[in-house]
Amino acid sequence: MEPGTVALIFIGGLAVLLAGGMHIGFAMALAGLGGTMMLLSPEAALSLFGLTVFETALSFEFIVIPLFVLMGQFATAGGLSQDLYKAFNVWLGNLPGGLGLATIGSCGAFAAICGSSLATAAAMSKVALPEMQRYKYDPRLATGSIAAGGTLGILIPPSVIMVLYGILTETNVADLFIAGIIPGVLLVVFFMATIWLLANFNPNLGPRGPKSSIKEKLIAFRRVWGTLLLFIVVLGGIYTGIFTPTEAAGIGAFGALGLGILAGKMTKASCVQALLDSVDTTAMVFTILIGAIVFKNLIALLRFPEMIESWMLDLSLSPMGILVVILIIYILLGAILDTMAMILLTLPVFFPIISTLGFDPVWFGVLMVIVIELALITPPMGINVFVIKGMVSDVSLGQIYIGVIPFVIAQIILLIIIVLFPDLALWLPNTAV
Amino acid sequence: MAYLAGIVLAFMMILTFFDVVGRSLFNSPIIGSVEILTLAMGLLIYLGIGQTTIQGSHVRVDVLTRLLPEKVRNSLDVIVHILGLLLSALVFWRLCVLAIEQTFELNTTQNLGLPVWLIAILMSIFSFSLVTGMTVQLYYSITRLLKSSC
Repeated sequence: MEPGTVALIFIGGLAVLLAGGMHIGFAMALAGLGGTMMLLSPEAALSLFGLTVFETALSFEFIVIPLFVLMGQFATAGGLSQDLYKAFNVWLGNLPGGLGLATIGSCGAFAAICGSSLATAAAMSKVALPEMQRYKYDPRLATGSIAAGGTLGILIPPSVIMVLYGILTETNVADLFIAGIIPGVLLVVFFMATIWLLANFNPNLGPRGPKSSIKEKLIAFRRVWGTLLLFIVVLGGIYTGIFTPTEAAGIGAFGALGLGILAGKMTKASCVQALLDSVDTTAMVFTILIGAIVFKNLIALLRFPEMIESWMLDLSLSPMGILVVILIIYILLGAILDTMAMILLTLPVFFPIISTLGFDPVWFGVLMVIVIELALITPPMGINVFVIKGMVSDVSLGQIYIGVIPFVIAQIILLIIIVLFPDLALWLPNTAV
Repeated sequence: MAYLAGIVLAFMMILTFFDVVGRSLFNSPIIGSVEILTLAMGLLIYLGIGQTTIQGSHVRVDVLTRLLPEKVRNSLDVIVHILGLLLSALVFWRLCVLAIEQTFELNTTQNLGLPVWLIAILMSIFSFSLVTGMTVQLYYSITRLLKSSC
């Protein structure tokens, strides 16, 4: 069959399967397998499929994923999010919108030991929401700040999304992690500025919390030193090249477990539950990953990236114009697709174009992550918003989406700044060993 | 099986930790840790995947299907799970084929000579849990469809 026809049938078919509610990994695998069967012989396609299913599960580079997932789970089970929130509350609570500022601060800190936005949002909403409700925070601001703060999980390293991006595009994961630090801190500042402005504009949105003495502020540091140390060891080790991201993940998971035990909050049951949850997440991620690789085989056989590339070059846009078009496509896709599926599905197509145009792969990775963060909180598929909706019954989904709007604006500003000043992302990794 | 997978994951974490500590502090890394970890990973995935499937933890896009009438949605669900079961069976079959090939060649890892063939056999056996999980999900979806059409 003609490659063009195969592309039409199976890429269209995938869209139908996804829209019909098929599990994303399965849909990609099925479309990929069907398409390769048409292009190659069925026997060859099946044996390629078998090898993909076998070898993806047995590849060393992917081990980093379950270990970072486990690190986040242990950090959650060990109650580290609680301590972080309490400390930030003592430091910032008394400012206008203080509890919101504390939420963003502790989300950022938790993101530094957790590689998932969902986990960050879930962990922080358990501790921060009740507190903000107690101080009669506007429910939109309260839920919006947690949904937005949660997205920091994937920009501030470690980040499961960056690992996937790195593996798929053969970009150095360590560089990606390091590149996320400055944009991550910037986004924390932007989010905080957003809350501060809102609360100054209308003090009823976020009343001030209780005042605490200098002494209390110093004592609060005791709650966060462990998290800080863990972050410094994990990122410092990667930055200085003492260990690889995989090793860092193993150490991080071990450290998070240790911190939980030291804090006296890690029980045997919660430790087992964290392990089981990590296994569940890992199997889920790998199903999508394997499906994406099967589909990627088809995309490569079809020379699909070349098709899109020549089409995009025909548009006679400048490289920057093409980049903007790609980012806009991602923002649109992010509204309907699961974020992980989105990058796994589209990177094989878009990444070759990006590298042909001479853009830095690390920089593009950071841009991707920011776009994905946007997707996490924009309707109709704002997964972070769903997580928070699951925790509050008296705030409607629509209310949360309204609460998120100021933060979406902050994210878009960050995106524009990183597009205009790539050095904000690239300076740190370039200084690394 | 999920508990076994949890144990494998904990083992991977401990192995990585002691490998790095051994290497950087005592200059004695655990030999062949990469090979051990890689094989453990293969077991972890297929030990875990059945549970993930039965619990319905696989990610799906439900923006569009949510808009459909219940009956249509439930019928689609049945179709989706039949296709899923078909694919799961293919995965199981191809892993079995590979396991047989690996066993005939008595394939081992390069440095430690660990039995890749044995892991391949275990992976193919464990992957049957995917078929079971999908069958259970298909059963659920059929029950839902029957209920909604009554």
